[in-house]
Amino acid sequence: MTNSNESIVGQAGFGSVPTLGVGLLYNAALRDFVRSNLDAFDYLAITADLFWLDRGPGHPDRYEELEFWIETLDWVAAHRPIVSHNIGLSIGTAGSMDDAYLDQIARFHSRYKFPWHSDHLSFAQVRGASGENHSAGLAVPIPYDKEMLELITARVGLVKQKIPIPFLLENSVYFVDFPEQDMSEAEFLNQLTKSSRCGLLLDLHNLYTNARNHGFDAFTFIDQLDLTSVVEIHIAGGDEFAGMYTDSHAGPCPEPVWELLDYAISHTPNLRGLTYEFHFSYYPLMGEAGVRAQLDRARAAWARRTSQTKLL
Amino acid sequence: MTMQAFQQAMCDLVASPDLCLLLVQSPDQVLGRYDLSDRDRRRLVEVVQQPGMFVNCSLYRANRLSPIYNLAPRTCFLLGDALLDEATEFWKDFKETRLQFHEEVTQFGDFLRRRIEAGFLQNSILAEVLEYELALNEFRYTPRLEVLSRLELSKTVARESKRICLHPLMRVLLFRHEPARLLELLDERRPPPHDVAEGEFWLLLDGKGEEVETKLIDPGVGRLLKAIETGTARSLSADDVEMLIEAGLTVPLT
Repeated sequence: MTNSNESIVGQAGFGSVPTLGVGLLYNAALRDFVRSNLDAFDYLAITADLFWLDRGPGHPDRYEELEFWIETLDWVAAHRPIVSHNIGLSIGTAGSMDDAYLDQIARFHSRYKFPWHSDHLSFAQVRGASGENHSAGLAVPIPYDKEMLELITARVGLVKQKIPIPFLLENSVYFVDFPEQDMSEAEFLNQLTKSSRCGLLLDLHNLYTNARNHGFDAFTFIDQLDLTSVVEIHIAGGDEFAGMYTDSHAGPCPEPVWELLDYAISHTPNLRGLTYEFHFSYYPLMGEAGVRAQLDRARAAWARRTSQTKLL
Repeated sequence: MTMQAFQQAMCDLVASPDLCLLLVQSPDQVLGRYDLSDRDRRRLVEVVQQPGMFVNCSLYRANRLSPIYNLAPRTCFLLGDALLDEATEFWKDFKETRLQFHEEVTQFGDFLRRRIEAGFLQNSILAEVLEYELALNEFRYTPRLEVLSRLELSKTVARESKRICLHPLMRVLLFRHEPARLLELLDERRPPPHDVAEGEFWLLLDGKGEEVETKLIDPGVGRLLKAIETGTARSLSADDVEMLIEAGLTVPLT
């Protein structure tokens, strides 16, 4: 296991970040659940992008908040911390950054006081010749090249300038393997967290998906990571689609993800939160009890981590 | 420029299985469109031959279909096997997506309206159900409290106006099939039987509360409200205008 001597807490300023515990990623099916099950989660993670309409760059009234969603968010924010896990930054996009998007995240942060925020290590938009945005339609993984490392390192700096709280990037799912990459995924993540001082949001289901589809050992991958950079862990479920296993967030976590969690959680000294996420369409199948069961199991893993940390 | 070109090529390929196939068959024809490094060219040639590229293409389509299916489920059910063909046709004209649910569904709805008008889709129930679901979506994305508060603020000034429009949180829809039974069946994903009562049914959608309320209204009132909505109503007496405003169906035009 790669552990730098200098703790990421010192490097990136995560020392003052509160330890939150077990969280739940909000989705459209959870409006009533969050109000009647506050005891089941310590914090709520939100995809802030879902709380507004985005009319696109250059539009005079680009962002319009969705009242129905905001009502719930305001209510939860009065009772639990909120962390923001966004999908719109597209940090790997070549060309310029979407400053207005960052400003919108900053506005949300000033209102909800996120302890940290995060996005995905991928690109979901491309810039056209005249600077306009085009959506890729999905999060496309980045090649792990030096050029990309430099681009994202600089971008993280801009993000931190605008929003002065810890910023995490999540390891991606990839279905194609780019040949001739300058470094492995683990090397890239280690270099990125070191050079940019961002934190790592270790999505164990993404890791499980990649390991299963591309035939590598997920535990070995964890051993290759500098786990001092991990601030948050995501767990989720998935299913088969078009001949591969996907990160569809289909209901409960599969057993191998829980095993990865048990392994990773005891080796991540700066971990501040463990978030369970599922797609809203699975709520009718899982029900309140099903969601609570996942959170309870996550809490049991979290408690084991806490007791182990005390022993260290 | 090459990183940007590589990303553009990846996006184009993910959005088009046909382009992936063309790249496999004649790489130069496809890659010549982009300013790519040799390594990027080799990468693209290789990834389109990996099974994962098929997954990427499928996920792209699933990501664009899911907002439509989530927000217009009855319309999608009625389209049945034609849904994917219609979506594919839609994507030919609307290559751009920002994956904003509201925008994607509204644009697809407009596309279906044109397909229905042009006679490509001949399901007699489809147009009614489509308008119903589009109206529900409008409410879903309308800042209800803001609208109500704006109306309240402008109440005094507005009262002096002689002209009215439909309340912004109201919609009136004409059904040629009995809507309660029809929507109940579609909610259960059951095909509507041929014996659903036919006639002139006017459904009023009231989005002023937290949940949208629907109720059948008298056809005469329905026609009047539709005429007010479309700006084709004959002149109304002051009493009628007052009554419509008092009932919360219309608001004065400011």
